[in-house]
Amino acid sequence: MAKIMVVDDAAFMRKMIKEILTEGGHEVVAEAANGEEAISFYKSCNPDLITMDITMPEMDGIAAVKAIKQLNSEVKVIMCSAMGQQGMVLDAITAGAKDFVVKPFQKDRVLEAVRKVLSA
Amino acid sequence: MLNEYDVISKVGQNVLAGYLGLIVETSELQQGANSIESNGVGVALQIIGQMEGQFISTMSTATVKELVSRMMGGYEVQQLDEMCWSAFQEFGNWFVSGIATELASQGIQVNITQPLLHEGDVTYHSINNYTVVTMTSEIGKIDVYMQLEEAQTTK
Ligand SMILES: [Mg+2]
Repeated sequence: MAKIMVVDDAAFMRKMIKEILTEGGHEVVAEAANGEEAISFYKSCNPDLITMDITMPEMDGIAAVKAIKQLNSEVKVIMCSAMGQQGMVLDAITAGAKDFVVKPFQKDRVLEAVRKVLSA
Repeated sequence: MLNEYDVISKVGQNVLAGYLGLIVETSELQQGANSIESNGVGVALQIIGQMEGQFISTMSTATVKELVSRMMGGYEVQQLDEMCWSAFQEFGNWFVSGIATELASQGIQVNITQPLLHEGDVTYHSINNYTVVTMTSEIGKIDVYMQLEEAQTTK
């Protein structure tokens, strides 16, 4: 079981991811709706893992991962995006994400990514 | 040459059949359309980049309730609340992101804008023709309108 922060600008997606993670036995300790919130919540709740949307207002997910990496170079992030283009996956991995899940996603795929990233 | 119908029906199948488990039949309106009338709900996004255009999907209120209900794992939707609208926006995002991913596999790089929702009587008029695809399933009819053109190179 891990303490996870969910970052997505869509309330619906936060709800979905939270349900999947909770059913998988994890605890969602924070929900952020943009990159700036993500950075501030990261500091206050120090989660084991982050699920991060890419397209968000204020600060996008790639910029947020880069900023959080500055705070903790070991941070574990799974990118969640509806865009499956290679360029975007590459940008996310370069920024420091450990895995990439494409929306709409299946429960098993998300939990598998979480398990893999936590045990790495 | 890009076949818009093929792209829409492939992505529509991925989202509605692959993810939501619906059995979907798609058909194309041969002559297309340059105006769209809706009295239910709709979601619209713009496509920008190497090709540019719009995507609009319309359906009845009954159908969108069924759609978001399925997206929420079967939770019964009585009234369209904020969470439902967020889900409907996400449906637009998934669909058009799927189209963007499909275009990328054909070497065309595009991005998409934030989804815009409408409810009630609305008519869209356009100078260009839309490709019109209807996706029919047990939750009703979902219409998709798309127009896509090579971007002007005068940047
Ligand atoms: Mg987003």
